[in-house]
Amino acid sequence: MARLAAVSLALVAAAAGCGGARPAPVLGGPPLEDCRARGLDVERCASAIVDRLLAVLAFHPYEDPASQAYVRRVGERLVRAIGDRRSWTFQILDDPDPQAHAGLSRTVSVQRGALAYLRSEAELAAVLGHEIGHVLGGHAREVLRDARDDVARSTTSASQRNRADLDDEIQADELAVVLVARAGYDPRAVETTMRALAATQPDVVFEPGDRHPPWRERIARIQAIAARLPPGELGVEAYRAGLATLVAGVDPRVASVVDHAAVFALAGVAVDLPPHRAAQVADHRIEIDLADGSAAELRLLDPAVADFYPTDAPPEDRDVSVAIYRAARHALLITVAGPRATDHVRALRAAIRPVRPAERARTTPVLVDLTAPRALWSP
Amino acid sequence: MRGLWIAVGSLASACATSGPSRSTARCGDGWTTLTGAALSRAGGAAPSIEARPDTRIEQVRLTGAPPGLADTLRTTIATRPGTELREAPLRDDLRRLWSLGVLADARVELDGAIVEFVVEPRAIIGRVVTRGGDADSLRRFRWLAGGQYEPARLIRMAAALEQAYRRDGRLDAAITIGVHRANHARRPGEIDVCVATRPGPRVAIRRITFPGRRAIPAADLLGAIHGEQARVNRPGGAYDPDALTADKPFLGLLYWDRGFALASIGDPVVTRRGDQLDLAIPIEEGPLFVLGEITANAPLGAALGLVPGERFSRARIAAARAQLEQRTGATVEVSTRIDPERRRIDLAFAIAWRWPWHAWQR
Repeated sequence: MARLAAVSLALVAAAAGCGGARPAPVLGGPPLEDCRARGLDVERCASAIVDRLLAVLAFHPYEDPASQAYVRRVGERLVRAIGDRRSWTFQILDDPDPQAHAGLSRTVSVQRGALAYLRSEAELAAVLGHEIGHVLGGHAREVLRDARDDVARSTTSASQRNRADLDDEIQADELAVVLVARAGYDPRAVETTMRALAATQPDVVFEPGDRHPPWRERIARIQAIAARLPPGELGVEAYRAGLATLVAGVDPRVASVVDHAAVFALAGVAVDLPPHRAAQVADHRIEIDLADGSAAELRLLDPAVADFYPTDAPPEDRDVSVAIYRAARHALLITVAGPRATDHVRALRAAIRPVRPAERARTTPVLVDLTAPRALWSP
Repeated sequence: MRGLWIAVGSLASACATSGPSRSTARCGDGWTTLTGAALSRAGGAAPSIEARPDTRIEQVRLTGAPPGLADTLRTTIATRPGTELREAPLRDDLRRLWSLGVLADARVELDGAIVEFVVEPRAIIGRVVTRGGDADSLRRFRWLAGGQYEPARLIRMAAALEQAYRRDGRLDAAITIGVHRANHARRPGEIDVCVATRPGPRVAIRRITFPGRRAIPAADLLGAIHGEQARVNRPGGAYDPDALTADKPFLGLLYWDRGFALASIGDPVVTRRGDQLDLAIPIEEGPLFVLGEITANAPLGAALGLVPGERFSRARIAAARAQLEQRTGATVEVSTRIDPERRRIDLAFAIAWRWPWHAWQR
């Protein structure tokens, strides 16, 4: 929804004013009142704020404290091994795609889908190590700086930026090997990780402009470094134990349609739907085509974000109505667009109830079998 | 091994090409300066198989790589036993091996009917020392330790850092990469890297002028140059030649929209006085053009909103074309014919109708 996106952007713009006179409320953590007054580098400060905003606005943390704690422990082990005593954030995102990424500050996120393809703690360390490498190298912040300077407008600079992107990935891969080995893990696990992730994207042909080198090159580079390092711990059993409750695929507890109800089992709330033509789950939300042609959306929010959503539609959006329902650890955002939007929102708000045991049973997730064989890409 | 060998040059020798650095950023004694010129030695002679081109290959070997890497390298080699030497893709194989980025040297040796790819993996970077510069700018370099010693990548990184400094107005910024082999006994095969940085003073633009400008206010031309937010290519800001080159078409557009269809924007003339720069961007405005004959392959009447005799404007013509496409659903091409003597530009609209084209023609 364009309007919701606009609200998000407005929040980013408001909070990014790091050195402003009025301390604005900051999402996702304690306020960073005045960066200059506290002697902090403004760019670092802004990076931390952007990461916090992304965490609550764009990402969905995976709601499994034990798994989160396990990933955090492995990440901490890696950074401590190189003598880094600073505070880092390691988190699992609730996304079935096999991806991981580094934030602008010391934030490393790995998506649930990537964890399903790994088979040892050393491989998890490889994924985290690659992203830590991006943070240590300051890669994302350089990209941000280049974007600020509008570097890509010049063809020469854009081409150099592309080459720099490839070099960034090479350095992150190298650092993954180095960090994994320094932390006592087997550096060859970086290669098996790469093969496992490459197998999820078969037949990908390298194109000019790609940000990652071809798999064959990445694997060769990793092998060249790892061959000179001593073997170490793999931690197969530790990985299985640490992620014993890892959910496979889309987590039905986040949002499901069960009979005629929208069920948010993790939040403990369900909504009995009014007459509708269709209702479908899409990325942590449920989209409903109501019988009169109106479009409704039910979406779980971080409670910290809920305060920032305007529930009074602006005059030009008379046909859009928004309400927020607060559960214990979540907020449910109800948005309806259509001629009777306010009535529909009121009706949906009134139809909220606790999740029934039968609905909970029907939204039980399938867990990943971390002992199952997996495909490994071969050149 | 005796026999025919095919040299493809050696990057390993790149670090051995010492020479005086033109930069004032220095690593000190004991370091060999890495230069781009050294890299141009890579490539070497083309393979030659004149010795026995009809030899049928019996075996293909690869030596010099550790086991895991050797497996990957072998899968990269397309030369197969049973192939005649003249048909073997040896050159392509070497190119593919090089492109993996892990080799300091690679060549093919032939011993009878045995083809042997002899490779030497790159060295590993041992220590990285930095001289000058700020920690944040150099963090990328500091974390190179443990990675492959890849001279081309080091030079790219140094060039990128220099460019970042220049975008910040430090036009004299100089980065020098020095290398030397580490203590062989304790760290065999490792290369230590030194990064010496001399950012230099920040040089600001004092003023930007447009010699030859008459028809368009200087403020409008300045407004067409990007960089307001980053304070680049602005009085008081830094000079970024790449960005200014990218902006030349935008300056040209201003003229084209005001009838100066042959206006040209020259390369900026830069005059430096200490820490200040004057930029002069020469402009040849040329004559003022008006619209001449306007034709189309369909009866448009006044639908275009363009009339002969009005001042030529690229933006107005583009808007008329877009409006026509929107109204008709057709694809519209506009071609121009310039008459420099009469200072007229004729326009021809070519409309490629899509069904139901007759709806518009009625």
